[in-house]
Amino acid sequence: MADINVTVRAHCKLLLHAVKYPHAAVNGILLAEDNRNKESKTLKFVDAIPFFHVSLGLSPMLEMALLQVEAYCKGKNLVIAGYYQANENYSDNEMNHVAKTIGRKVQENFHDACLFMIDNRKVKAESVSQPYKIYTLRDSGWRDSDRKNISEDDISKEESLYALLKSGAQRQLCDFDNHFDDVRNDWRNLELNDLINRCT
Amino acid sequence: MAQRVGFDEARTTMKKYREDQIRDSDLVLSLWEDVVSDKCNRLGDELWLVYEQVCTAALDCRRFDIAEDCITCLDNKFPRSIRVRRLQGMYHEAREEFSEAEEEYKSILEKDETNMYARKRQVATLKARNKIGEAIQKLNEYLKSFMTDYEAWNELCDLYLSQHDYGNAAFCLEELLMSNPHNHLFHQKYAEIRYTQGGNENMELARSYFAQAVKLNPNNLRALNGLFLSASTLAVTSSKGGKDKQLNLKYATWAAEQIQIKYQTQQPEAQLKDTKIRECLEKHLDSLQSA
Repeated sequence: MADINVTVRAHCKLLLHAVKYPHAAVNGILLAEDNRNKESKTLKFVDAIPFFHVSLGLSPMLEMALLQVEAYCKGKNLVIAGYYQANENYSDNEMNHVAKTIGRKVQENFHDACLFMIDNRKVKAESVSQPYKIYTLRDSGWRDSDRKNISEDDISKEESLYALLKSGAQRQLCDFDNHFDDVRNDWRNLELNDLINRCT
Repeated sequence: MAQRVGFDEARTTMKKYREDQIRDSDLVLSLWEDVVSDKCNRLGDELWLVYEQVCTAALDCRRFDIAEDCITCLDNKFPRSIRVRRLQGMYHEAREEFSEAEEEYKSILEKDETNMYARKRQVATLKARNKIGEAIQKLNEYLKSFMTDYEAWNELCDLYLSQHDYGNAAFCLEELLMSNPHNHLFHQKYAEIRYTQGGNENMELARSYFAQAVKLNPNNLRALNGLFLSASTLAVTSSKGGKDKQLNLKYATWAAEQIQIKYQTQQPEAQLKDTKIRECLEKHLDSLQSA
């Protein structure tokens, strides 16, 4: 079982998505370096692609988004390896039917996939430990991940998130809902990636 | 955030947000605190609408100090107003004082039982406490009396979706479609629900409604995506060489072309190349041909 490493970029982007739409449920997927043919024991989540903030439970747009991201990953040595979700209700961080269904779909394509459930109460511009819980599929159920979480850059993550939230960077984030409204909205969020790089 | 914005621009922005019902509470508060509040005597009668707007924005951002000030000012100007009392109820809701909120709404309804806002807030209170079943029940009762309230039908649809009761969610959309047959968004959402339900009959319904949405608004990318996916699914499940398969392939191909045109004409070159939408669509179509 691989250890998990969530980079600053993936960490910040998924939390910024939750911050951008505090009144709505949000979800998205996480991309990892494709190490299926390698000896590496670490699952490194290098990016987060924000998906939706409206009607998370409907499938057509989800399927379209997954098709597009899959095509994007080819040739970049990336793979869809994780799914994140923040629920609408402030104190609700339970994995619901939507999370389990989409999580399972991701897991079918990538065996060691992880499910990230964001704790809304811990999404803020202060230093917080574990703003999300990570689950993996074991014994036909989603359970707390028992893999070691490599967190050498925890401080870096907190500092970057603080800087980003203070500057209102979440407004720049584009998810797939924004993209389907106007295709010029770029779900890769390259400028935001640069901004995050400059924070570290 | 809003320091560099002038008073007139702030005023116009806030007005636009009220009219379009845009929920950007952070910005509204920022405009109020940094720009408008000092010069609020220049607002004239608009001041009261602004107080209401700032109050709800403040509740969204948990700035209870600002919310309280707004409610006090409004109460002084409009004593015993039901509209102000509703804000008071929302204040309690935001502080998770749900019994106090419920008291407030009950007493509003005792005074005016046709007050739709108080009744909707009661549903919101149940939703906030995660009592979705009761919220659905209450909203259904509400709609018996106020059946033309589109916002309520939409909310009920979303509540049913959260319980994955697609059948009843579809019913809500059907009500909306009957009263708004030219609204492409309703056709599209209805199609999405049918698509999610799955099964041949639902997929055909989905395809029809996506097609209708495209007809009403050829710019609706979600409807084009939906048409592509539903026609593709039907092509795969139809018998090989059958007429249905050919027709669905034709629809899927057409939809893919429309999607590609949209991307090619609107997206910058670099983005287009990197995100490979064309390859994605072509690969999907190829897999249908061989299925």
